[in-house]
Amino acid sequence: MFKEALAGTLVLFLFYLTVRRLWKRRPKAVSALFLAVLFFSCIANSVYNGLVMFPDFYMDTVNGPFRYGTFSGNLFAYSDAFMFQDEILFPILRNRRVLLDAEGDFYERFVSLYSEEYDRIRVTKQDRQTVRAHREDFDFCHPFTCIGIMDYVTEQIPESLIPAFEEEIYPMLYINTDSLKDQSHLVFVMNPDYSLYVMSEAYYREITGE
Amino acid sequence: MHRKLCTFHAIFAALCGILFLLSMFLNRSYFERIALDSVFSYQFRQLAALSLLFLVGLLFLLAVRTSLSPAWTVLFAMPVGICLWVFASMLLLLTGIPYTLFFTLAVIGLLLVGLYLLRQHTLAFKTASALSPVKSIRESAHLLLFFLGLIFLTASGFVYSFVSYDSFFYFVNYGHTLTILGNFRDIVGENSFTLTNISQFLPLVHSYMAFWGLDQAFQIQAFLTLNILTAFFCVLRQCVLETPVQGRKALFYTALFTLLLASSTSFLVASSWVLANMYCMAYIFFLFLPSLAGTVLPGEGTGKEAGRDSLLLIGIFFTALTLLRKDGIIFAAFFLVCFRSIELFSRRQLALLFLPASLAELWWLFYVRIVLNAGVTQASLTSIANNKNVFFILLIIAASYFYIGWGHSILLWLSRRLPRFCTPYVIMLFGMCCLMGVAFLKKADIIIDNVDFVIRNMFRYPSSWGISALFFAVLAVFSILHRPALDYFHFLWVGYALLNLVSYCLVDSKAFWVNWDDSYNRVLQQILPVFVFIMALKSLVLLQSDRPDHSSES
Repeated sequence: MFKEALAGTLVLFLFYLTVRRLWKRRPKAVSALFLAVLFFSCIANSVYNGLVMFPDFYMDTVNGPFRYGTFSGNLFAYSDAFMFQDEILFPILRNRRVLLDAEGDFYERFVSLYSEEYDRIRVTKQDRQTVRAHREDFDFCHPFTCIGIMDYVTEQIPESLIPAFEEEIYPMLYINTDSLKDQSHLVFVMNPDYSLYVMSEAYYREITGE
Repeated sequence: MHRKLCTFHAIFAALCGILFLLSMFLNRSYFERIALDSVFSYQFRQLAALSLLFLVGLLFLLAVRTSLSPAWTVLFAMPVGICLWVFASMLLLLTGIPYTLFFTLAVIGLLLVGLYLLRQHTLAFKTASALSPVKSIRESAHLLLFFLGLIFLTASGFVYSFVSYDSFFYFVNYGHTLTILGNFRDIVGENSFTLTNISQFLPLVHSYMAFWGLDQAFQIQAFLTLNILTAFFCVLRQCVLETPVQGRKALFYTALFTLLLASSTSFLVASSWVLANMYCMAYIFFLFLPSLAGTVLPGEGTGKEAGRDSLLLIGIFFTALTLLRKDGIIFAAFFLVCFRSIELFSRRQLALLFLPASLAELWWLFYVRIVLNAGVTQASLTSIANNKNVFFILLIIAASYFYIGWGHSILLWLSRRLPRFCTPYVIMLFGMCCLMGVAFLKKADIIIDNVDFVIRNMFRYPSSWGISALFFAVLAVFSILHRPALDYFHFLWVGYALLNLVSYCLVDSKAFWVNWDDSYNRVLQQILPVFVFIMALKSLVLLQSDRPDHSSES
């Protein structure tokens, strides 16, 4: 890259000498040239941005291009092509009362912090299996990265999760978004592998028959 | 009052208002499917939050009876409003008072009332020649209408922004959590990265929006971006009108440079990425503008009062920079040195305006290191409170005061004894080059790689600079066409770039990487609006074609 930089600097220096000579002899021509360069720069930048930057922002990474996400027209800090899609949980929790699985201690701090109110609910083994059986109803599925990276929302990581967390592998988060509309009560059911199922209370009652 | 402009801007505000109303219907479907909230209430809260921040800044500037022009008062309202919110928040959090919206607004309210009373006192002595607040508002009505349009536009949610890991972890989520816990103490743990690896300015901006029940502060960032562009246009036009270039030519020139800045890929990336770099870019630019009052713009303010008002703004923005990033104190110290070099203010005034920034930094270090004793078991090398960083921050503060007191005089004495081209700026650049030499001697491989990566990050396809870096290089050539010399303006961007390179290579011992998110690449982008502004100022001479054309002589 240094060779290219040196060549570029030399070209710029030659350009400088040429334009300076011109400036001394024909200042009006340089004035026009300068405005033309400015005008061309604006056009070229706009075309470049249109082709390369918009509508999505990509970053070249070791593992190939990575989409950083575009949040245009979005009121949430959320994008469906982003690595932290589980951020969607924050607007979901706001203003809602959560019934957290009595065995889901690990998620207690998170839920208590970000929901309007929260309570515990006893989930039987059979209910857990029923929720799992309805897996296809949970349209949102993404690793729960927030719980992994926000160290201030977890009291203590369970022993069994530590090796996975060190590898940056986090429990899965499943949300039944279709069941959320106009629902003020949510149920959070945790599986033995710490994956979390989020749904409205009405939906939970419906599938478990309670 | 500019009637014609008022009409245009009122139409613009009305159109943006319609867009704002339409956006609610467009956003409704996806919003209400997920959140238990009304999209109308949500977006009106966004509008109210933005308006309040702008209003607080405006009231503050009117309360201190600034002698800056009414237009400048409006241009600085939002940046100052954001600062007031953050400073009040920091005060509450550091003193252990519960961090709530009510208490923070109460602190700001008390400050405004205090300033109002002080203003009455000042009036009695008739020392200020500023316009009355009512007259100021009437004079700047056209710009206020324009900014109202911008508030509508940004509150619509149609803003271009993108996020990375740091955006969420350090700013959006952490800021939100601070509003729930209401203090730093409950967040500090074994790995308190949020307290030791970042500065607190941006999380507190996100806290402001979280207090309103909003998800993030992208809107504030988008507004600030548009504020930069508006300020760039207005102030550059003011500067151009000070020269023989007048009328449509002046307007065209100003518009072209503003468009160049707005369309450059590097500006788009820096301003849309939810990171502290964007706010640093904004505050570096807003720090640079008041320094023009009384130098390039003698008409802005009058005599000593212009200096006094600039002093206040510069003091606020120095503190903002210090609280924005761990290396913010370096940016502030650099500009302090530059202001001393052009003798913008007296030594005493300069020492005074750097004091709040220094005290804020020291208070934060004391709080993290002694009061909280925040531990970091990982990332201890990058912690703001580690011994090395504390030492360097103290060194920077001491060196800055030394430069104000004696350093500049020594440099002047030295430059008088050296060949003519050895101005204080050249000597300072030479000093930075020597430091780079020291870094090179210590670890040549890393330094070669670092410089290589800087070039790649600026010019390699696809780079965050796009093709704009190439055009900036051409502009730099044009800017030195008439008089190739390293003066104050050119030193601002050359010195900034080199000083930060030295700081990263020598102090941080950092290995750069080829990517858009390389720290130095982002720090370099922060100077962009200042750079383009300087290019515009320096190239102005090319437009003054009253020089005789010598083509016939050849």
